[in-house]
Amino acid sequence: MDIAVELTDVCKSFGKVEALRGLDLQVRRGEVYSLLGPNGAGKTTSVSLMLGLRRPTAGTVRVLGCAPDDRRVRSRSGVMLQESGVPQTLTVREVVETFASYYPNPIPVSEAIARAGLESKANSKVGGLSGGQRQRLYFALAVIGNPELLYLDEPTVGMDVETRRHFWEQIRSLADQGRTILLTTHYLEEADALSHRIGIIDRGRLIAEGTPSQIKGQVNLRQVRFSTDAPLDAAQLAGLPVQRLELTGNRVSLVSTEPEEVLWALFSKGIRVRELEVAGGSLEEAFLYLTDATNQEESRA
Amino acid sequence: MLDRPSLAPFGRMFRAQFRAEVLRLRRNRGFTLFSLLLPLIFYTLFALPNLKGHLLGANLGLYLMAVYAGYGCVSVMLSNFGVAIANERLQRANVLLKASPISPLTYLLAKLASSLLYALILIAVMVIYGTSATGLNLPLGQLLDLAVRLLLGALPFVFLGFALGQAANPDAGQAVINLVNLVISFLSGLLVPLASLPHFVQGVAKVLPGYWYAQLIVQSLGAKTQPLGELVLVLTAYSAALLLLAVWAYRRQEEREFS
Repeated sequence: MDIAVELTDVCKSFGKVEALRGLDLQVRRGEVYSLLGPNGAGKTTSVSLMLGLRRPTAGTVRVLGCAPDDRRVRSRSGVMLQESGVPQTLTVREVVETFASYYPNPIPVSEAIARAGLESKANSKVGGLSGGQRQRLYFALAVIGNPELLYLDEPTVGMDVETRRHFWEQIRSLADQGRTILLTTHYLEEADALSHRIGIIDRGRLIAEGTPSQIKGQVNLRQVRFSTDAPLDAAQLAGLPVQRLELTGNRVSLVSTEPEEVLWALFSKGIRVRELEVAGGSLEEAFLYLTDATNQEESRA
Repeated sequence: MLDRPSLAPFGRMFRAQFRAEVLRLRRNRGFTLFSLLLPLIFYTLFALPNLKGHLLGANLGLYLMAVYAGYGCVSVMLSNFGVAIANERLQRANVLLKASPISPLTYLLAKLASSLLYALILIAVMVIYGTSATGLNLPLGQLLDLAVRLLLGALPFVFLGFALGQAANPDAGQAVINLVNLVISFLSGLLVPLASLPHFVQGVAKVLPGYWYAQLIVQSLGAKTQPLGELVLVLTAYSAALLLLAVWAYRRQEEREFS
């Protein structure tokens, strides 16, 4: 069996709010899967269902072939959650030691603390930690049980750049050891740098899925930059396949699925183009394009 | 992978959780003040000037020693199950705990064990203070009888604390539960002998579990009370009712946060 986490046609409502609307998702064993989406897309709800913290309104959730709230599954998983806490009056080491006892095969406490880069704070009370240090502590708690499967819900929120880099290295080394990692993030750079596969979730549905390069390729957006002799009027590009347009003086920056078409139209209007640059679209462009496209479909429907 | 045990052993989880609970209690100054220091201060203020007196046929110095220890036990149970659980909900420590492999029962047993340890320390301190102040030594059998009554009789307050900890608004939990503690203790004769309170209060007292708990405690010192069978029966009924309330509050809270 090579599927670690499987959501089949999952719906989840909170009162009248539909957080998930028919989500199908499979995380394979040994992969880093990023669930990417804007705030309120349903990322945290999905993770709560995978952890068995919440029950789906419809559909099924299976983790390592069992129900998600099975304690045997939890013994093989580690988790870093948004908005969760630990007792404030215990020290970092005491909390990690306590959590170590919950798992059948924990790693040494000092190793978990070192992985999280918290050695200098090991004897500090949890209540006195900064936001970033607290995130590190939650990471130590996520890895203490030597988990096969790790859930990291927006793990790098509130981390400074250096801490984030350190954290990425940790995730890569955990992935290299063959662990399955489910990551949610709204940093595209993070999903691009770490994942084998990315699922883009928007308003409770998976709207795209694939490797980072597949996602970028699926949309096939090109970034086009050039300058013109006289400032360009946006009307001159009307009706052309332009997804995003920025005009600053004589500089033109646009994103298009068919850059050749756009340039051909400009040439035939006799507009001279200088300093032309065409580059592959970023994941960010792909993401904006995809979420925007579903929004338009929704409003038309 | 296959020969790995699938769950951590209960003993290891219990010991680690017990240690964490004891450390948390030890570092909680408010808790220490409320449940350990207050009985000592009360004893100094109200018992020391009246050591020779008698109440319901028992020596007043010993009587107050026992009821203040009872107040302490009620505080320990209401704090550790009520305030602590409300605080865990406030800090959202309950979420991470629920996602981890420790079972709620193991967790609660460790909480109970740490509460009993604290209650026992408190009883020991009060007994040492009370017996040396009065100069009356209690035989070992009677001491054990008193300790067992204090600990077992506190069971309804474990369930009450748990129910309040689950049901209270987490922001107000501490204040509400401390207030409940003071009201119950005061009206039940655990802080001030009932005989010195107005008549109607004495009537109200009988609907509170604390009243029956106080009777159970002072009976051990030879005070005239209702027969033991009746006290045990009433306290068992309270325990059962409060256990149901606790289960209801737990289920309701689970439904609210984890459904």
